Amino acid sequence: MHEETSPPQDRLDRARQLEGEIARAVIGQNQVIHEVVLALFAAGHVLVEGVPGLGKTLLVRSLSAAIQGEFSRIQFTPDLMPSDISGHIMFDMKSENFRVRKGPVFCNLLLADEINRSPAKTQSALLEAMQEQQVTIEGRTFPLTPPFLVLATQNPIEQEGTYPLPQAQLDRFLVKVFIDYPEESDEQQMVKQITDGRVGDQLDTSTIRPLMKAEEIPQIQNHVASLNVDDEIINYAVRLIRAARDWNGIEAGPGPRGTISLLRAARAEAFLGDRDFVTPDDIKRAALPVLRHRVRLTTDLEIEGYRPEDVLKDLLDNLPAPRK
Amino acid sequence: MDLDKIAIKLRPRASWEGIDLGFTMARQWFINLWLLWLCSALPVMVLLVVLPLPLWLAGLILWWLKPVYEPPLLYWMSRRVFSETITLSGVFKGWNSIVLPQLFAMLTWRRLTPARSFFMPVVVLEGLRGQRRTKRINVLAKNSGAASWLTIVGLHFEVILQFGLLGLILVMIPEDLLWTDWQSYLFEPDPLSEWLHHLTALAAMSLIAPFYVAAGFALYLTRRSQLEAWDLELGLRKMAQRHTPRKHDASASTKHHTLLACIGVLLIGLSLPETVQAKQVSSQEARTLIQEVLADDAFGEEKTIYFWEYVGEEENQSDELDSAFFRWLESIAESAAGLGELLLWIVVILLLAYLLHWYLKNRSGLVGSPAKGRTRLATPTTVAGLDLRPESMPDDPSVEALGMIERGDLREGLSLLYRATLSRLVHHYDLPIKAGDTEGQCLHRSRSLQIPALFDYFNELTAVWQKLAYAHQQPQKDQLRGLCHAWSDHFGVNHAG
Repeated sequence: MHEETSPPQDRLDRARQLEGEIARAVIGQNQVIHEVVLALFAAGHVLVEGVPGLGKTLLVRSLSAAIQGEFSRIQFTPDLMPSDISGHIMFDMKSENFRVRKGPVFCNLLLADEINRSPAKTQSALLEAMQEQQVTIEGRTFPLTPPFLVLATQNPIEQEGTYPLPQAQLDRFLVKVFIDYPEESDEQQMVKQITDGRVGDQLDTSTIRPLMKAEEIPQIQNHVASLNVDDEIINYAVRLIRAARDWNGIEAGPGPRGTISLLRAARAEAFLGDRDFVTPDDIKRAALPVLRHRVRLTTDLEIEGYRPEDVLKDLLDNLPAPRK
Repeated sequence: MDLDKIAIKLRPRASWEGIDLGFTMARQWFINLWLLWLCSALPVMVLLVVLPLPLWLAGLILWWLKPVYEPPLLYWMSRRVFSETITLSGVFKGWNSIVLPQLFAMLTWRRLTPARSFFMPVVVLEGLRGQRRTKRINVLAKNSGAASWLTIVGLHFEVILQFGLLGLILVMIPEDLLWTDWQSYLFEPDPLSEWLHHLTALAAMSLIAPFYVAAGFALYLTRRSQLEAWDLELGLRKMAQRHTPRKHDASASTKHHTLLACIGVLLIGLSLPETVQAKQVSSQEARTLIQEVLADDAFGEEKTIYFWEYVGEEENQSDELDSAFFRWLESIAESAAGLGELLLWIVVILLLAYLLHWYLKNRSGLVGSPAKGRTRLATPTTVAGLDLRPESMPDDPSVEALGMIERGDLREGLSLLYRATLSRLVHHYDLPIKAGDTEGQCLHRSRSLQIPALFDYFNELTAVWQKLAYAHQQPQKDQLRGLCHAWSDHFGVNHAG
């Protein structure tokens, strides 16, 4: 821990309240909110899988409102070009000069809706920005303003005419989140809240209190990255990833980037759990969202209907946790 | 019975042709036979619906009572075969005499006889019982193999038809109204599914039964015709009719019957007592008669037939070179065939070895979980270096831990206290802790014991332990002393070991 660089306690407290604040607008998706906030503090990106109409846009808008960040949304289509994301140079008739028109990627929170609808060329434009935190337009490099979080969505039921993300690209997302239908009581409350006194289907984030400024997020991310991790925990994470590579039913396991991501996410878990050290519980809690898109099951297990979560849960149950 | 009026063409038939004949009869009279079967079975079905029986038992009873539904079909067919008109109501008027005789035997020890349809005419039409029935069946028994196959195939068709009907119904029901699926239907059927099962079973049985009964009856007729030469009798009758003036038809017919008494009386049999079927002659008389018959020109004629047969040596039409070439080709082909067979065997052995290897490798996955057996740990008491066995604990872990803490070995002391707590929770409170459980999960599981004081203690201990183990934050000695003292309150020394 680096006490001298730690942000003030009240800022940390406000950061921990982020989940609860977003949950006031996005009802019945607490796990999803938790994992998205986790990715934000771990400085990662989120891949969301779920059918349309479950509040993904509302989630990102609410997060954006809570951190007073800039929000953009891109609907990926087969004819979307890389320059539609990154931006392009245009000739300004007035000044008779070329000027750069920045694309929607220049924001703090980007919702990349149905990312698998666009071909690989367009996908890679965004994925490069995610990895490098910068965008190159006509040879000029523009850094993205931190925090930069991409929330890319995939629709699991309409696979016709899509371009599935390759394993190497999936690896760039820190976590993969499943967004599912809310419980009946949550849905009732949500419908009531959204339709009362509202015209049309505008998303309302007015109930969200701005808890912090976007500029404060990098400080929190630095604080999270500096949390204590005991060697036993690192050993546990490495054992977990190595066991996943050799586990029965897993054809391709996670690489070292998986271990790194797991530790980053575990640190964020510890932060959200109001601790300044990581425990094996944090590793376990972070394991599913971090690893589920980094493993590929064998064909026979896929045919039998197993999901990566089933195999990973089995692995977590059977791998001895550190208790020394 | 009047063979002149028989509606089927009599000729020597093999068993399978006999079954074909039965199927033709069933097709010809299907509606009548089907209605007859339903008239018998539907009341039973209704009765089973009314009675408060378990559904599986109702289904079994419906199937078991098949010998009750089938005799009316046989009786009706036996009349129609001899061109006798009989209405369905006529059959049911004589229901008692058709169905009831030997019904008990048919429903008990004879119920599972595979050749049921073949032997049914002996009981229903000839009315034989006891020794006489047994003798008769022994005489007829040649076709019983085909009859058994008829039953087996019929049963399979019945099942296929039933599941076909079920599939059709389930496919045709709109998805919104569909209350079950195949898996639930087969393994956890609800009452509605069970009734659907019985109704489709009834429909399948009703569709197969006319063919089954008719084929059995046709087999019976085929065998009787074979044994008693009905076809010959009919042929003789036709010959006699051709050689008799029409005006004397009636008297000639009578005379003809008299002349053929030795055959006719022997052969006519369905409704006549057995005692008048044959004229008794001694073996000596029979031998004399046979010799007389054989001495007749019609039987005793000898013919000599001549034909050509080549008895010379085979001509070798190919030259030596061709012959050698073909021999070589043949040897090559034989070698290739042998090699191919050897390769096939090798492939089979390798395949078996691979399957065995795959089975051994995935044994654990096959029995439920996809995890490797070798990575599973049978007991959580000795994992990750943390020995939870009671015998590995000191007599009083809290005193031992307190001593370590007082000596300054805080980590060892707290580790012992935490380990002893887990050991007690596992062995005395039967808390199911898995090898992969973390401290948080152990704490979460301990909540299920529903002992608030114990949970609070374990919660505090876990928090202190986690801070020491993973954050390297030394706890206060006083806090550790408090935990050691409280340990005995919750677990007690006398529980040790």
